[in-house]
Amino acid sequence: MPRYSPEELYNNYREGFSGCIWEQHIFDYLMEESKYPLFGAASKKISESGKGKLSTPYKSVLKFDKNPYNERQTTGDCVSHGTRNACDISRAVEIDINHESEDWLAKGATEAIYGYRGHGGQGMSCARAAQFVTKNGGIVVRKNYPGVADFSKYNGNLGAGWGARGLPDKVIDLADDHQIRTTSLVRTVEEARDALANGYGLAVCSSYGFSNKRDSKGFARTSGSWAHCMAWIACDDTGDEPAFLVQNSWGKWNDGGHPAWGPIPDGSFLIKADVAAGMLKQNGSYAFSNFDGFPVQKLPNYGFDYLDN
Amino acid sequence: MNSKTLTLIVAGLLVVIGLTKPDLSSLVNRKPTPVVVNPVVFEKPTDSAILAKCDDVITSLKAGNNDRYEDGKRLASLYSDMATLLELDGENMIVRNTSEIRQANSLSGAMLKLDMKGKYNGLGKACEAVVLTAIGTDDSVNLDEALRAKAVSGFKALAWACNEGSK
Repeated sequence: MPRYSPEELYNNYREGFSGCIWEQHIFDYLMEESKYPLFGAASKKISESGKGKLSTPYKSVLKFDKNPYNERQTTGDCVSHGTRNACDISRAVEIDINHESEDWLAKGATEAIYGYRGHGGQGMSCARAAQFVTKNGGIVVRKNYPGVADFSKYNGNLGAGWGARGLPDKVIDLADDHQIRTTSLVRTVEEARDALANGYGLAVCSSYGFSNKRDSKGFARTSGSWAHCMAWIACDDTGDEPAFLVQNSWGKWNDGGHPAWGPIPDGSFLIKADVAAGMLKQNGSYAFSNFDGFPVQKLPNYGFDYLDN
Repeated sequence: MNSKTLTLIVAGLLVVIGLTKPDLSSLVNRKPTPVVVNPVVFEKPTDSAILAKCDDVITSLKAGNNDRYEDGKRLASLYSDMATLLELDGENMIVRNTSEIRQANSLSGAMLKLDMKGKYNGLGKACEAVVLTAIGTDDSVNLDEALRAKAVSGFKALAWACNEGSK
């Protein structure tokens, strides 16, 4: 399996490589079998809670992992990276709020998710990844599980190889012990904003491509078309409209400016609300929660909770 | 009480005094002890960015009802104490990183039963912004000398703002 450089990954996706695919039957299954198929119905208590706020839940991940976004995908497993990054946000925020840092262990592993894609070719649907982490499997973390598999370092070949023959039972059993409780389809900018404001990460599959240059404020304009999955890890709604921080899985593939609120991780960029709305309309965006639904969560701050509702 | 009983009590007291020989000079040479009062001085921040954020704190408090006189003073006192706590370093160090600032502040609010949730619109966010502006990050990082000084200045600014808002 070739180890692509950031430039090669960028060009491959621009030239039509399909990292994310559409599987109608899996999407239908998820919508029919999930307790909360749609985010709106699962998140009434947090509706509008992100309005006017800068929400940076990825900073909880940074507290436990200084370099959470340094893995560069080496195969067509962007969906597993996007899903893992989204789930890691939900996991890290909960641990951070409860001051239970020992529960973090390590960032999630992508291989089991990608290994569940159900075919020997490249690419996976976001619906199938969501199905795996919430129903048929779960999350395993970057460590060696003797007798099962060594997930301590990213190995794209591992997940790629499991595609056709399926995941070993031991891996499924292991993942099943750490299942994400809720995933729901996110369809609007407001829903995405409210999810991030309460510490729930998003994995977003779409056909939108972007420039590898950020402007002086950290925004990347749309450019080309990628069948790709990326995680949304923050939202800035302090301006006229929400802007979202998108985390890619190609290593340091882009550069440019940063927003006024601070430096953003390597490989990430901001998108504007109209672009976000277009991506979400494609029905490939899922939020993840370790609760029954998406309850209110106060993101960690400097502790002035006794003053505001 | 008859005179015999009274005599016995006085005699008993004299025996006790005779045995224990307490220093009774303070009873006869009492000098007034001056009460030293150190009024807390809240210094106006000089940094324009921090000052701008303090304005939001003042505005929020002043928009409240008459409780703000007491509430503002209590908050000013708390944040002044927080600044003192943050200043402790070396062997006396208590707060080591930004996460512990959060814990200390949150615990202090709970201990003092400062539940003012919703009483002053946006006050928590405004206070957060002052500290965030002063420290420059909400990442979990250790406090080196420079960052500790910034945190101290943030809470001192906050103390000043709350005191102003109480007026």
